[in-house]
Amino acid sequence: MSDAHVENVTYKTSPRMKNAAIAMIVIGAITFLWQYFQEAGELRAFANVLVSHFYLLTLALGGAFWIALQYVAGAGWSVVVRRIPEAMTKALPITIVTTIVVVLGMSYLYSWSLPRHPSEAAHEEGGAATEGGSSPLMVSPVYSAPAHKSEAHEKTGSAEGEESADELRAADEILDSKSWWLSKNFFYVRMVLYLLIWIGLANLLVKNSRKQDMDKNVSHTKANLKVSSIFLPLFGLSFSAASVDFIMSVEPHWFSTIFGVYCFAGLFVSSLAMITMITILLKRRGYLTFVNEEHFQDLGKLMFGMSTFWAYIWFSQFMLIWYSNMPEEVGYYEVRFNGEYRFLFFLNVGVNWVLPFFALLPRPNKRNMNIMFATSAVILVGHWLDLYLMVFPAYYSAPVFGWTEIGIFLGAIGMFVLATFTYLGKANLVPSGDPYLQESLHHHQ
Amino acid sequence: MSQTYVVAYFEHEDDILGATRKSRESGHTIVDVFTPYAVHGMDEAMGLRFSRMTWVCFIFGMLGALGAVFGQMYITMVDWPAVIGGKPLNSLPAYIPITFECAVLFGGLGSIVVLFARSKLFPFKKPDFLLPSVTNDKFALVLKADSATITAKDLQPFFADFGATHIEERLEDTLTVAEGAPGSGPVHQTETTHH
Repeated sequence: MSDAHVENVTYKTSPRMKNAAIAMIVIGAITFLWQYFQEAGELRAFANVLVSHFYLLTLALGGAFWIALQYVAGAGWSVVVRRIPEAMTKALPITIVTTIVVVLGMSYLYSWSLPRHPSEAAHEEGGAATEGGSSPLMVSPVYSAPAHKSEAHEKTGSAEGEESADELRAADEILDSKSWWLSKNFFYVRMVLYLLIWIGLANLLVKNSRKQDMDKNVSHTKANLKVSSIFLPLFGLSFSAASVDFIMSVEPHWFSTIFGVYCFAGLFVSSLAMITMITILLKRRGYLTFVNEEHFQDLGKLMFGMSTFWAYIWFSQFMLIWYSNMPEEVGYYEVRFNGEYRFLFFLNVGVNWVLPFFALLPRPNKRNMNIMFATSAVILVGHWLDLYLMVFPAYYSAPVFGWTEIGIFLGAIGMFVLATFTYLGKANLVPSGDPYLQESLHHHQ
Repeated sequence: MSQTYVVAYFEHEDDILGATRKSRESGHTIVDVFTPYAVHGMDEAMGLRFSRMTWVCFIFGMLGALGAVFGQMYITMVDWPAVIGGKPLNSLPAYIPITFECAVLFGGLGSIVVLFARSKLFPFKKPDFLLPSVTNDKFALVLKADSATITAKDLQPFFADFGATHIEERLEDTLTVAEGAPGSGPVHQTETTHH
């Protein structure tokens, strides 16, 4: 394989794909607005945005994590596919928009953000979207499964009921003890901080890599090694905190100390699936001819490993809570494991682990593009289901699924595709100046 | 009459890979390839079929997992029923960690035992050396001289392209020379496993 073969190939953005992506974004926006203006439909609209937001975030951030990981590990084999995770990081700026929408829907999504003490309530009078005391979210002082608090969503509570709920909320000691972290202003500060760290460092990694295409200078690899070494610990801390902020705090009384790792496992496996999927899509259109089954086998191995890692963490979280059976923890699984979500709960393990495990176990399957593509697709759908199961049982005692879920998710995918493929249309499809390029081209198992 | 073999020695990984590939394409019978370490792509160059060790590992792992599940069910439900933490006697989630560990243990140990048995490796086995250097810095390719035309001399130009340092003929009974020297045996490419 000659060098000339791999240089100066850029993806030609097809107008059809671009139009399809824009159409998906429009569908997503319309679905959101339609759902928002439905009778008592705001919560479902925002809950879907939260799921889609975190989905996008995990894919985009997973791209940055992958790049940093390869630099720190000194990995050579993955250079040929590196432009794809680089392109995925270009979806990070989109999460600024989705974060803003999540913040706008805070009073629906996060019960901890509601005024709890009468003095606070007076202070925040006229604040965004809370509509006084008749907010869709009620907070009970100790954790109670949504099955019991579902009446609160129906807005049928009598005046007495609301009074007592307010009193309970004011006396909520668990939320008092967490208020130093779960306070609105600190939340805003953290959001800005996360996005600055992620977008700043990811852009730096991509910028250095792009510069290397031009001057073929090894110094960019060395610089990126340093950036990656700074990024990885910051990523570990900020992503753990972000998963607590965005997802775990929808049920502020519940906690799981492994939650950040659990979200990270989902991030890693889903971003790997997305990298694999885009690589195969490009290869089918005649690009990336130098990516062969050796590279797919390594991607498959990692996907297999990370899917199993996800299952390991999923089970660790479940088993410790199931075994200790403490009321403040076990309510989370009461609604998922024993409630209406039981089927989805098991389906989640099926699509995120059992199926990928057996699909990717044999060597020939990892070297087969069709099987890799199908497995990646299953994992990507499974990742949505995983996030759905983290968020929705907090608001609904039984699963809700319909055009709203599909439409808003399509919108998120549309934004992701637009950002990713626009970047792929601008850059060489291979980092042609990377010192490891030849090693990657001749990669062998 | 014993079989004659042609042994060619090489200095570099790429050379022996190329020589092996060309030998196979030219229809020579490759007996074995000796390298100091596992050379990537050698299985393919030699035309070896894919190792069946993965199935051994899978089957042993499954045996371990099933054994652990049913073993624990027997212990906690039949042999010595005890209510722990108010849980039902048959509490599957509690079995998972041990099931997982047993699957890994059985898969690992089973693979090693079968690998050793298939490679005829056992404790106190005397090492067989084709040439001591194949465990150090030399790469050796052994071909079967199955017709009169294939002799070391005829193959000289054939291997010269790949920088063969030395080519010799050996009779079957002198192919492996027992050496008293300590150290690990040659890497048999036929026994490398891939995951």
